[in-house]
Amino acid sequence: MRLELGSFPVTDARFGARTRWSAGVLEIAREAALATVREDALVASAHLEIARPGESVRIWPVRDVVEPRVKVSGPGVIYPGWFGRSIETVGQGRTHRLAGLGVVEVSSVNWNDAGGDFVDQYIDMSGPWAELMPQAKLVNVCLVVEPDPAMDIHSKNEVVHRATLALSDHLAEAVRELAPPRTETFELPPAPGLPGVVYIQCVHSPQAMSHSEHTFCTGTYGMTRLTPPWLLHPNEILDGALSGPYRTMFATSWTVVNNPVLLDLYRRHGRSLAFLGVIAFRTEWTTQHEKDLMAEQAAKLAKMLGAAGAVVTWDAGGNEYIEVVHTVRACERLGIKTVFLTSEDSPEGGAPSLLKPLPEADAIVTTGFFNTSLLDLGLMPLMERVIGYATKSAGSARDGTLPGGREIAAAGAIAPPWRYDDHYGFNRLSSFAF
Amino acid sequence: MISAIYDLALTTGANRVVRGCRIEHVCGNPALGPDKDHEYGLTIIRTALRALTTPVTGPTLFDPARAEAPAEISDAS
Amino acid sequence: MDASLRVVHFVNQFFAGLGGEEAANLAVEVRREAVGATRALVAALGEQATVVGTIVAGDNYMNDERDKARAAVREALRGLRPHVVVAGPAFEAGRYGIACAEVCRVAAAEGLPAVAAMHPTAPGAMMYGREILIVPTGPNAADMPRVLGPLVRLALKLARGEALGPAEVDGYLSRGIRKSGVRAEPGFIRALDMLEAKLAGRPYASEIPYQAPEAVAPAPPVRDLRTIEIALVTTGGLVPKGNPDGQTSGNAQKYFRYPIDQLQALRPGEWEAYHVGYFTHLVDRNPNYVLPLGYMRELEKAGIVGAVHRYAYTLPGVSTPVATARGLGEGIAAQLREGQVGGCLLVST
Repeated sequence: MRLELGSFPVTDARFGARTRWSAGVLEIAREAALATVREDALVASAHLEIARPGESVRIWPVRDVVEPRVKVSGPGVIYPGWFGRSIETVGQGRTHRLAGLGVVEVSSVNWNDAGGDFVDQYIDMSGPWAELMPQAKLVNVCLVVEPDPAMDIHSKNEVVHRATLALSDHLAEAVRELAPPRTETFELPPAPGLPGVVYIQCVHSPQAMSHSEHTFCTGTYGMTRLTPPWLLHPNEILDGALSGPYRTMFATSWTVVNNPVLLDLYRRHGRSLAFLGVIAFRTEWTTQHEKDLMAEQAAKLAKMLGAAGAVVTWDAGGNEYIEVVHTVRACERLGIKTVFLTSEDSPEGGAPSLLKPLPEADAIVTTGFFNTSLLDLGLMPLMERVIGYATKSAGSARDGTLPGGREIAAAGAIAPPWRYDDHYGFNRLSSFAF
Repeated sequence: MISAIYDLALTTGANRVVRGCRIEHVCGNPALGPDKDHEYGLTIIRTALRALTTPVTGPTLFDPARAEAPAEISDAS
Repeated sequence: MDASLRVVHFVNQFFAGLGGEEAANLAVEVRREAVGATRALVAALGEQATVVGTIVAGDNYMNDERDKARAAVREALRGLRPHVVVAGPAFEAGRYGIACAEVCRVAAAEGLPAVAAMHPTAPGAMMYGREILIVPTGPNAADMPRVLGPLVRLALKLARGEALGPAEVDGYLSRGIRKSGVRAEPGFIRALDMLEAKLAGRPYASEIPYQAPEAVAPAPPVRDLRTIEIALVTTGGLVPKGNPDGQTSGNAQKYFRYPIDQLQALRPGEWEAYHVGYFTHLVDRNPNYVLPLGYMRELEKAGIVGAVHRYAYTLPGVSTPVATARGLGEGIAAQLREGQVGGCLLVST
C-alpha cells in the first residue's frame, strides 16, 4: 500500500467568486458551497462563517472538525463508508489535503438522546483554551447547519454530518488538479532486524450508550457499532477510514487523520522500529466477558502480526478503561512490550488516578487530568463574536434541563468545556507525582 | 455488590461480588421474555443473599450460573 | 554556598557509633559534635550548610516511649533552630525508619522542613510515605555514599525554602499526590521514546507508577438472613419519575434516599434512571434491574429474608472522583448502621 499525500497549506480563507486555492489562501464561493450542502432537502438551514487563529471568536457548539481531503487517484473515496459513500478500501494512490484548514460542524443536534452524549465542546480562537486546542490553530470554515426537526435522531445526525462532508468535499476539490507544494510518501517497506510495533487505537462506540447500531459517532468505514478489532493499514486512516467525532476536540475527524502517534510511528519505521499496522479496537462493551474477549483477540492479532511492541491509546472514559487496560495486560502476557498513552482521573484524596491500576501497565505516558476543573484554567475570556449559538447551558448540557439549570451567554467569560483529554499526546501538558 | 463488569468491583475493595447480566440490565435479561427474565433475576438475588452468608477472606466472585462454591479471587484477574 | 543554613541530623544509636542492640534503649540526646554517620553528612554538605546538632536516640526508646521521645525531639529542635531536619538514612531498618518518620513528623508540627531516607519497602516508608518526604535508598549501608548526594540536594532545597519539585525531579518517593505540569516533549514523542527504550531494554520511568488498590477487610457473614433487614442501594441513578429532587446525571455530590416500605415492586412509569453513563431505557421499563425490590419482596414473603429495609439509596455513579465516592459510601453506611441494617445489596451499572 503506497500513498502519496500532497499538502496545500492554508493560511487564510475568504469568501469570493470561485472556490480556489492559491498561495496559501483558500477562496470560497459561498453560495456554490452552500448549494452542495442544500442539495439535501433535509437540511433546514445552513450558513458559513470563517474563524481565524488569534481572533476573538468562540465557535459553539462544535460536533466535529474535518480536514478537507480528496482522493486524486487510487481506489475509494476519502472518509469512506459514511451514509452510502463507497466502502472500497482506501490508502493507495494519491490524496490531496488542505493543511491548516478545518471544516467545523456546528449544530444543535446531539449524537443520541438516550444517554449522555450531549454536545459540550467549543473552540476558542484565542486565549487559554485556544492554546490547548490544536484546532484553534486552524483556519476554521464553520458550517452552522440544522436538519429538518421532524426526524429521528439518527437521521438528523446523518443529515448534519453528510452536510459537513459535502462541504469538505467541495473545498478539497479546489486542489484536486493542482500540483501540491509538498508531497510525502507513506509506505511500509520491509524493515528487517527492527522490532515490530503495532498501534492499538481504542475507539469509542456509541452502541452501548444508545442501544442502537446506527448511532452517529466515530466510525470505522462509517460503521459505529461494536465490532471485534479491525486491522487497518495506517494509510487507510490517512484517507479517513477512521473518522467522525466523539465528545472532545481531541476525538474529531481532524485529530484522527493528523494523529501524531500514527505519523511518528511512520517516521520511525525503518529507523528504530517496523510499523506493522493499526488495530482499531471498538470500546464500551457492557459485559466482562465481551470486554475480556476483545482484549485477548486484539493482543492475539498483534502477536500474529509479529509485534514485539505495542502502543495503546483510547478516546473515552469510564468503564471502557477496563477493556483498554486489559488489552495492555493481554499484550504484555504475550510478550509484547506495551506503552499506554492515557489521561487521568482525579487524584484527590490520594486515590489512584487510573480506574484500575495494573502491575502489567508499567509504561504509562500521561497527558494529565482530563477534567478541566483540575487544570487551574479559570474562566475563558469574553469573546467578541460567537459562531453558532448565542447561549449555552451553564453546567453540564444534560443537567441544563433540571430545575435550576440555566442558560448563559456563550460569548461570556465562561468555564472551559469540562473535558480536556489529549488522547493522542499532541501537547506537553501532563501530570507529576509529588 | 452486583455488577456485570465484576472485575472492577473485585479490584477496588469489594469482597462479595455477584456477576450481573449486563450494565443496561444488571439483575435480569429482557431478551429472555418476562418469565425467564424473572427467574434469572431471582437467581441473581438469591446468589447475592448466599454471598452475604458466605465467609470470605478477600475479593470473591459469586456466579449465579453456579450453585456451588464461589471462586476465590487471588489475583483479581 | 551558605554555611548559615542550619541542619539537624537524626540518627539511631548504631549510626551514632554508640553500639548496637544493647544501646537501643538510649534516650533522646543532642550531640553538638559530629558523630558516626553525621560525619558523612557533614562532608557531603561541605560549605553549603552547617550541622548544628545531631539528635540521637535508641530504636527501642523511640518505639516504646513515643510521647517522651516526641517531646524530647521537639524540645531539641526548638533549641537548635534548624532550617531543615535530615533523618537517617535508615535503609531497610524497621524501627529506625519509623523513628526517622516520627522525627520528621515532629519537625513538620514545628513548621520545619524535614526529609528522611530509607528503602521504599521499609516499614517507615510503608506507613508514613504519604506524609513525609523520603529519599529512597538501597537495602543497606553500602548505599550510603550514593544516597548522600540526592539527600543533601533535597535537604538544601528545603532549607532554602525553595518550592518542592516533582518526586522524579527532586528524588523522593511519591506521596500519592499528583499535580498538573508541563513536560519537555509532547505526549506522542514520550510514548514512542518510552516504547523504544522498553524494546531495547533501556531504563524508562512510567509517568504513573503502579499503586496497589485498597484491600478492605471483609465483613463477617450474616448468620441468619431471616433475622435481619437488608438494604438496597444502587449507583444506577434511579429516581422517582420526573426527578423531583434534581439528582444530577453524573458527578454525584450527594446520594438520595427514598422510602420503599409501602412498595411491593418498583413500577415502570413511577421511576426512571437519570444517569449519563449507560443506556437507561431498559431500567426505565423495569427498575428492578438496578433496585431489585420485587425479588426481595418475594423472598421476604417466602420467609427467606427477614425484611427489606425501608429506605433505598441511589446515586448516579459516573464521573465520581474516588474521594467523593468514598465519602458517599461512608455516608450511606452510617445511615445503614443507624438503621440497624444487617446486610446490603449494592447494584452497580
